[in-house]
Amino acid sequence: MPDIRVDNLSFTYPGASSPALKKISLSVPQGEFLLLAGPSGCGKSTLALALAGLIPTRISGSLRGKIYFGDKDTRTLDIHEIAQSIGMVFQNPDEQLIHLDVEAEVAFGPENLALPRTEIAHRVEASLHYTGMDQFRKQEIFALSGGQKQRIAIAATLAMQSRVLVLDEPTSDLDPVGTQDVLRVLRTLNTQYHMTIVLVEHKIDEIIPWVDRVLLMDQGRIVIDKPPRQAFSESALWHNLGVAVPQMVQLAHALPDVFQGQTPLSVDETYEALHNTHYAQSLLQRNDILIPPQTPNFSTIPALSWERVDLTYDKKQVLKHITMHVMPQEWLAIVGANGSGKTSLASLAMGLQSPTSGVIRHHDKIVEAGQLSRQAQKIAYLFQAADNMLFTASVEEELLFGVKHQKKRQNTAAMHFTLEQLLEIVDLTSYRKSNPFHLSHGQRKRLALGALLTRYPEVLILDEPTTGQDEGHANAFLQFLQQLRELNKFTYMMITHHMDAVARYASRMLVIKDGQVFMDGPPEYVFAHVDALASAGILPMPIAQLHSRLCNDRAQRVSLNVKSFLQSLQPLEVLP
Amino acid sequence: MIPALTQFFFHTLLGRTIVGYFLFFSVPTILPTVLILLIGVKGLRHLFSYEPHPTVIHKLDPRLKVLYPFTIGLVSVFLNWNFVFLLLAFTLIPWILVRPSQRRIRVVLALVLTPAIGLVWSQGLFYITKNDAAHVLFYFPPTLSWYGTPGLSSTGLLYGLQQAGRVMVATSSSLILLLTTKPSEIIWAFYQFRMPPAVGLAFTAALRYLPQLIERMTVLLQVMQIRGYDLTRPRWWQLHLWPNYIARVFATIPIVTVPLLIGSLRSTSVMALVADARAFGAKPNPTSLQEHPLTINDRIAISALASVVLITLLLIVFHIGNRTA
Repeated sequence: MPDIRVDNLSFTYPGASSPALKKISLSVPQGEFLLLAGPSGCGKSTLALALAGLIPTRISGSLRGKIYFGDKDTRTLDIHEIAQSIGMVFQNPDEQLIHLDVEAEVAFGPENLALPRTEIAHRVEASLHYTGMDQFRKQEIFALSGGQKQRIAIAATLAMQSRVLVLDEPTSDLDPVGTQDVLRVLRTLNTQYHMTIVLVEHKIDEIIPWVDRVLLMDQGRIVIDKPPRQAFSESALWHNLGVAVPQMVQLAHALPDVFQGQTPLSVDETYEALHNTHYAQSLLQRNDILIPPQTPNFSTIPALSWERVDLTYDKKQVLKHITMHVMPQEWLAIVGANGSGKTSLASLAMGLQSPTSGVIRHHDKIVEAGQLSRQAQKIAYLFQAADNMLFTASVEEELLFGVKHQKKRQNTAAMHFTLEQLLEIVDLTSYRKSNPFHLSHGQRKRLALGALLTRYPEVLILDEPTTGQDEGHANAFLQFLQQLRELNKFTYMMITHHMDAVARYASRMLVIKDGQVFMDGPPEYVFAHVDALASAGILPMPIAQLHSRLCNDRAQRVSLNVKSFLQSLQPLEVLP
Repeated sequence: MIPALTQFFFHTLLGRTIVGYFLFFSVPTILPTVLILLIGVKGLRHLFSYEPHPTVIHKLDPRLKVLYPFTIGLVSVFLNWNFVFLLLAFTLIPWILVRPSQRRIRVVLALVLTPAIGLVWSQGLFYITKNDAAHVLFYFPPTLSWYGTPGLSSTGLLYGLQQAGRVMVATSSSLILLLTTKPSEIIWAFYQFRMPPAVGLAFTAALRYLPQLIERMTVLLQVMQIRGYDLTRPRWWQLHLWPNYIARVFATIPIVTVPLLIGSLRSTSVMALVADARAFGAKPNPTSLQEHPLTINDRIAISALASVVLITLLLIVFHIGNRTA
């Protein structure tokens, strides 16, 4: 008997014109690892909430059809009864942890069930063991990293003795190390403890080698329901929906003579298929003749520069002797594990805080901490959470906020763009009178950016501009930023965990490790150092990893996308 | 020079008006500034956080630590101010045993002294009885009649000092509870005293959300400035810029409230779903993983607390330390 059976399920949110789920039928056998993919708004999170019993018991709407756990109709069960079979883990670990220490958090569910103390102790111990968090039992939650917090959220769910785990983008707020931590735990729970995993996730490249089955959703319907090796046979459908096909799958489709209809899912599998072929030989030959990266032109004064900068909080040194620069019109990506000092670096440039020692300059002027509104005339900072940047009741008011609230003596500094131009730039002309909180995530992000552009800054600091967006929306926003930069000659400094964005758009990348500049150079050269990057908590894209491995880890530069990798596989003589 | 100044400030209408305004507005202006300077917005995040240390106080039974501020607060109500300050000295013993971090000491001092000073000041101005004329230290001139108080009185200041003692006793004993007890232990203790579980959950949620709320507010204020809203603090001598600065600071309140509320509501809705999924409220009598058998240190602490109560009773019975005002 399957663990979960969904029978003709439809769900409509109150006030919505069309259902979020349309006649979904599906069954999930025990021990299956199921990936739920699809563009934003396709209904995958709604399906996850329904599977976990939170729809319709806690989130109202019109529900038709049934969900069975074993032979029980979940609508006949109370939410805590469902939670003892199907547990739900949400996106943001900080929002789903109730207590302030690990042990209390994990024990919370069993305590509420009024279990005997010995049973609670056993469950706490087992759950922490399953998630590899045994040694953190007595820790305060605020002292944990994002990945560790998410593992505690999983442990707390397991303490309810759930056999099925439903996870809604559990890694979207995590850095690459945290993401790998959580995914490893899920893999262990599935393979060693035979738990059923239903995972809603955008990071398909990273998860696809481990899943048993892939569901692709669109407009409330399941459009693909296949094992992972067959799920991407209709790659056009994935592309049309803006959901990325794994790079290894794209490669297999492009090299049918090597893969012969087989679909590799991991770098290991692809490497096995390619490493003894003439393609690999071509790649090695090409690697031997590559020229070193061009040194940047220092004749221009940097747009931003950090000179021997140290930053210390209490006794912790966050930044150590940082000397670096951002050149005008450059798109610099700053990457590194959470807590490595990336955001501190950017906040110093904005003047959000002052360094313990050293100087930050914008061109030749020293950046003074606390002079934010003055600094913002030259530098803008797009925060990760766009919602924190919106204050007013309409799009129009939002764009005029800065001008309206400037001091009287500063009012002479008119907006560089007219309101109409700004609305056009951020593609929100038709939403002029709309409430910002009624816009989609991407629209809110564009609006926040538009609000910053009123002052026509020269440098834009972009803090995780793609977090929480699916591949299609993330690419659309990055493309928008690229066009904006080309048109207005802006300089970008982007903090990100999204390596694909770095590969596609950054002209230079800087790796921060333990508060120091660890690596600095064009992405194709930096991503060649896979092992060194791993020590800094960075995992290059699969195609870069494959390129490096095929060159026996001696690659000087690696391909950043499948297209350039395929070009690298061509024999040298056929190149123009 | 000095006689001339004395003449001006105490014997002319203009001088007395200036002194009156200074007396009235200096403390309400200075106290919040001192509080922010000593604690800071970032410091507020850790205001009520637990600070782990392997001390005797940390290891005491949480029930005892929850009872402690209630008992001390209650006792202080019945004692006269001499003994209230003796009680304040008693509440310092746990602090000496805990030896908190310097940052925490700064926060505690700010939290204890700021309301105390405010209380002394307000009582000095407004606690004036009909026959108190002889104790008025400074009479407000007719230009300040709208204050509704004749002036600053020594009786009022003394009364404020007595009340401040009680406030300081309560704050000191409450803060030691929060500093040395995990929230889960506090809730466990509350459950042992038959408190409804929802109150315990609300308490935890508040402690959990306070740092996030402050963090979010900090970001919002930074965003406002980045978007052109000038909150640059003038130098202390640029007196003409301060009124506008203060007005701009106050004007931020309605602007940040909406996003702050929306963000908080979104966060709490997820937490509510999680609490439901973890069977919160499913059983009338939840159990607990925690167990706190009474130790010798607990017994010593109980004895000390019981002694305080007993001594208070004796002081009252023998009319030695009874409260008079």
